[in-house]
Amino acid sequence: MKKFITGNHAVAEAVRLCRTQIVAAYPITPQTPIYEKLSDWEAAGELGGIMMRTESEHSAMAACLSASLAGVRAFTATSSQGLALMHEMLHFASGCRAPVVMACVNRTLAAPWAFWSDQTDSLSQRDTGWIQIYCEDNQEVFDSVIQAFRIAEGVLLPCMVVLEANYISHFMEPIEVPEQEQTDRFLPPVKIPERFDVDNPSFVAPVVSQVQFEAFRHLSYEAMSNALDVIEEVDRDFGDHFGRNYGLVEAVGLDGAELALVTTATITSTARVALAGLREKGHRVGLVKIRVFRPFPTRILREILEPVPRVAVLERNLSLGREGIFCSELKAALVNSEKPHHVQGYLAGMGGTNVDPDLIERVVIDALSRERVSDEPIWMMEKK
Amino acid sequence: MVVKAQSRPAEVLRPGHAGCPGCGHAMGMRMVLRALGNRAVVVVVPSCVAVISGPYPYAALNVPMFHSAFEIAAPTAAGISQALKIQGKDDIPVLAFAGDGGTFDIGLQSLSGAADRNEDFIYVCMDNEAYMNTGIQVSSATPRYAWTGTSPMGNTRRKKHIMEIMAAHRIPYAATACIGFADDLTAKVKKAKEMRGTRFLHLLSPCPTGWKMEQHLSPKAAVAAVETNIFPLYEIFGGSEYVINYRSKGLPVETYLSLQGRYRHLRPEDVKSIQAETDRNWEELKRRV
Amino acid sequence: MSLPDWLNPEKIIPISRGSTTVFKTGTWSGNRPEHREKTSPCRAACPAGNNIPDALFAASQGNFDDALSAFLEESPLPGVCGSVCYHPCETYCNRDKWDGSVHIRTLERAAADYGNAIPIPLANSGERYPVAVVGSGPAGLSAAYHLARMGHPVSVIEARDEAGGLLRFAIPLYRLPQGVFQKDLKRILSLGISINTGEKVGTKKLEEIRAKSSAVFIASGAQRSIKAEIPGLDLEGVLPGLDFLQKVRRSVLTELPGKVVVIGGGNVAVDAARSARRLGADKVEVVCLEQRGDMPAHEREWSDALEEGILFHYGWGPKRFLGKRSRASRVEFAGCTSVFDSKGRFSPSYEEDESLMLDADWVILAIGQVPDISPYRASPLAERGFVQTDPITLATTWEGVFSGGDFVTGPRSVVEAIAAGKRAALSIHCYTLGKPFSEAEERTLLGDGPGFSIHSFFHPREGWDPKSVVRFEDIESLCLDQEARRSLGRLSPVERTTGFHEVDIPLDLREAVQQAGRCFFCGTCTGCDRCFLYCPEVSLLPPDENCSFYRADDAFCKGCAVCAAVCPRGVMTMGEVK
Repeated sequence: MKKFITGNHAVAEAVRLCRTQIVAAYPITPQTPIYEKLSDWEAAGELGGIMMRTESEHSAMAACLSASLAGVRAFTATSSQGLALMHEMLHFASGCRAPVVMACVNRTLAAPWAFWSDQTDSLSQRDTGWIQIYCEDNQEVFDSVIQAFRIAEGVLLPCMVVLEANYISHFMEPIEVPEQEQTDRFLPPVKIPERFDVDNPSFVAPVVSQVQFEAFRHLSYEAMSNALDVIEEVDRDFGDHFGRNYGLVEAVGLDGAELALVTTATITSTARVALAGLREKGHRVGLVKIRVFRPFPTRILREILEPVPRVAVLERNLSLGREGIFCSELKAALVNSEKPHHVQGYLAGMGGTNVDPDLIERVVIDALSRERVSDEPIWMMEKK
Repeated sequence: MVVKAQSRPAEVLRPGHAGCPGCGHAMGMRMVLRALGNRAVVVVVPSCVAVISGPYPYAALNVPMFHSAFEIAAPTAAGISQALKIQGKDDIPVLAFAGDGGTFDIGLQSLSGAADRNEDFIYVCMDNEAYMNTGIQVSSATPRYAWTGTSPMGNTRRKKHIMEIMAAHRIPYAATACIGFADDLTAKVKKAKEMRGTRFLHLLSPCPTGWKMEQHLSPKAAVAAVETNIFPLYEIFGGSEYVINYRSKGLPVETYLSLQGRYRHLRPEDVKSIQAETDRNWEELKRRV
Repeated sequence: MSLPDWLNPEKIIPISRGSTTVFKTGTWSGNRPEHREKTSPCRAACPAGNNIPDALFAASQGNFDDALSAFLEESPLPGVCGSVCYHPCETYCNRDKWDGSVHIRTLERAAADYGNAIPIPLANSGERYPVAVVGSGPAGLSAAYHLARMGHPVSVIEARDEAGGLLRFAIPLYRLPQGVFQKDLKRILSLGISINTGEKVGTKKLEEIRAKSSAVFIASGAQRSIKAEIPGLDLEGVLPGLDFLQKVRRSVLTELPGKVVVIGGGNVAVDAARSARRLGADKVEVVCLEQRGDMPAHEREWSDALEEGILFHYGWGPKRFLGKRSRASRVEFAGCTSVFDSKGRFSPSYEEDESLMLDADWVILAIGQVPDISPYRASPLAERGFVQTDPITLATTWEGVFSGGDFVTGPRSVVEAIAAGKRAALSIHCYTLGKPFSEAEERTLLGDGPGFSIHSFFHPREGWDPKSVVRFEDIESLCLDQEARRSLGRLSPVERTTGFHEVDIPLDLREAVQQAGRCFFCGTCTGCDRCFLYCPEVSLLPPDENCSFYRADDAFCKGCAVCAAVCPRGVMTMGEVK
């Protein structure tokens, strides 16, 4: 069934179809419509699960992870400050191997106060042990939420589906929404460990020694590494069920390309248009979309970029004192390639400013013509 | 006299835990848990309770339990409680233990949220009146004048009135209890167990280590706190109906203070001021009944 | 298919399934609690060594059979003591330092009234030896009772026509109802003791008895009233105190019209005065040498007498009895300036100028009683003019003959007589077996003595330190309830003097349970479980099939001493790891 809905409502639709049992959330712009939509359904008796309207995102995650440990399917959504407030609990959920799913609507982190898209909030949670999937459009958001539950429950790690403020959260697009039975066939009822069994009592998450801590971290590392395969498998299976899939990364027109433009999220859509035009003009430029950020798809990126001498990374986030975070990650992924790459970082769309095809064209032209690669990112700033 | 065998409730707390000798928390946990029974889920958060609960792979409590983060005893309990209901396990109560720091200070917001939603769990604040687990630092449950590592000249603030805060949430049940009055404590846990919604127990459990007193004095100090009206035993139903459970002997506050090294520096006028404050609080409580 | 470790729910996060009992925290400290029962101060103060805590605990549980059984461990006369004892137990009761002592005496009576119990035999593996007891007062009955419990055949010889001595023939009924004594007596006799009444014993008879018995205990009491050399002593209407009381008990005297003057300041004098009041005397006056407050009579008896309208004149000694037609009509007294001489001997001195003249239709002379050793004049017993005994063994100078009670000490209390009888019983038992009594006594001495526990000699009480007496300071007073001692029901003075009804109204059952519940049960574990419950280590083991004590689990006890601190009985005591 086609529905013409916002990205936020796409998230809500997916959460409902996944028979999510507990939703604990706290309002924050621009995530709030997810929370409201689910509340509407709960009020109408159409949600299936229950809502916990916690007094903070921190408590929302506390409730989600403990409910998840009890064995139920739990979801939350947040943005920006809310995500930052949750930070402690993100580590905790991952450390407890609680397969909680979250929708994170990217928004700038204060200060200064603003409400628009910026990926730095979710990327700041890079090391919390969450799987992160960055989505390009409403359909992908919808599909990724459904996939996220199977991935999370399959590897027992929490999973974050990331969508951008405004560009996705509040933009309406037609999306394909499957029937409940169809979804159920792809995502079976929750079957995760029930940790609190009165007939077989145990103490979950006691204090451990140094050596024990190290061993548990290693198991989490293995889980995260293996998650790459699981994500791919789930994505393939999703394709079999619904006729759409996304991969860990997506490569477009890399054959014989002199330059690969690497993007994530909504910039990708714009880049598709800009690059089509550039290729028509004879520029040998391909596109690489990184969809899964954690675990980082190092092997596959190295493989597809192997024949491409120049790489430009265009992104809407910043690690102050370094560069765009995807850029750093990609450089690290390529550092052991046989042939060296020229990787140039570009920052654009920061604070939610528009990244139009023209800007992308300028980036590509710069990257192709540049004699020396700069270690500093190049700011493609909007003129005031 | 030959003592006849008597039937006793099963113990949930096990020996071998890491509590200090004479630990009031261990006594309180033991009393609470044997009244609760082991068909329940227990949440602990960083505090001496968590230390007592045992290091991996050992557990001091024979009950399913979870060691959650410091400030989220209440939402953790709420999450588990909701999950159990979804799974059809409505008969399994969830009980959270948090220290005074985890309740009065860092956990107050999340407790307030859960209490406001009237989430279904029993919350036991194990109050030893300072951050003991981190080595005795002042909390908002530390009484005025009390020494701690971060109030070396004596605490300058009054103890926060947590019971009134909880009463203001209009939760079904809030009660004070202490390890010196075991029957009262047991009865309150059992009463709470039969109720639904957020139930709050403010449990005073003296800490020989942090209060600078001899190891055997925890129960005595608890009794003295009650008998001097420093810590009256009462219940609040629905946030407004107050019931005083025990008419104390109204002993002078020195009876309580003199047991503890943390008050050793008190001047006579300090004692007088504590007495006056205690009397005021007691009169105020009586007015509410 | 087995899951990889990184996905195995049991392995991916720390889940404790083991028990902290792997940590032997007992190594943290060498201090350990010990369950050491001690002696209550009431028991230490009781000459008979009554097991008060056990008895009162049973009573507090509504179990008066066990309460009576506990009293019967040391004394055959709980009904009697429960009625007439001067109760030093209550004076030393730890609760007296809190909110008033426990009504121990009255509760002993309640046990006798409401309980049924057969005295527990004193397990005696030795041989049985026939023992004769002369006198069936409290001392004689006590000795006979305990010897019979040990299995020795006992025969009692009583000069009067009925057993009981002063219990039967002296103590007024308003203090000791006949039924109460009879119930005690019946229980004693149920042990198979034979009593030959109406048989007087003198030197010759004693020799006969001695030949047939392994030992003899003489407890003939102090029954000879002292007759002062006072002019007019032989006037009609002048009666010795004990004779008067006996006549009243035998209903020989049923009324006493006119004015009565009682001379003497002791209990017999007060008993006589109060009896006279009940016989309808118009006026009863008691005259004694001592000043008020120095009278040997018990305070309570004296104040009761005052309430009943009896007048007291202090500091007067009788000078002469005046009569009309050979019948007493007046008594003249001289002022007494001191009762004892500088060496503390009885030697009153008078101020002859001061005199008091009282009208008297009856004069009751109760100035003291002494043992009558005249029947034994020709025996080794009377060599010194009085019966000399070893104060520990009660052995006389005559081999095989023991003596005790008022016959040796002069008039004392009922409970002291009972104590003497008990002492004689164990002493005789040891004598017949050829074992030293001192060792037996040493093992069972309560506190500093002289009371001891005969019961525990035969049934050793494990974990009990009889010499250690619980002080009030040993009890955590913060944990004690406030429940002040209540004054008990008594007849009004008007109700009392219309007859010989018992003055103290016995406790009803509910009240008895309640009053017994006030007992601290000092030194006696009542299984309250506080030590167990308060143990923060869950390592204090409660009594079970294999062990009747609370004890620390050495593996885990951290020696914090909380159990000792919360013990309301002073039983749990800190010691060291054994």
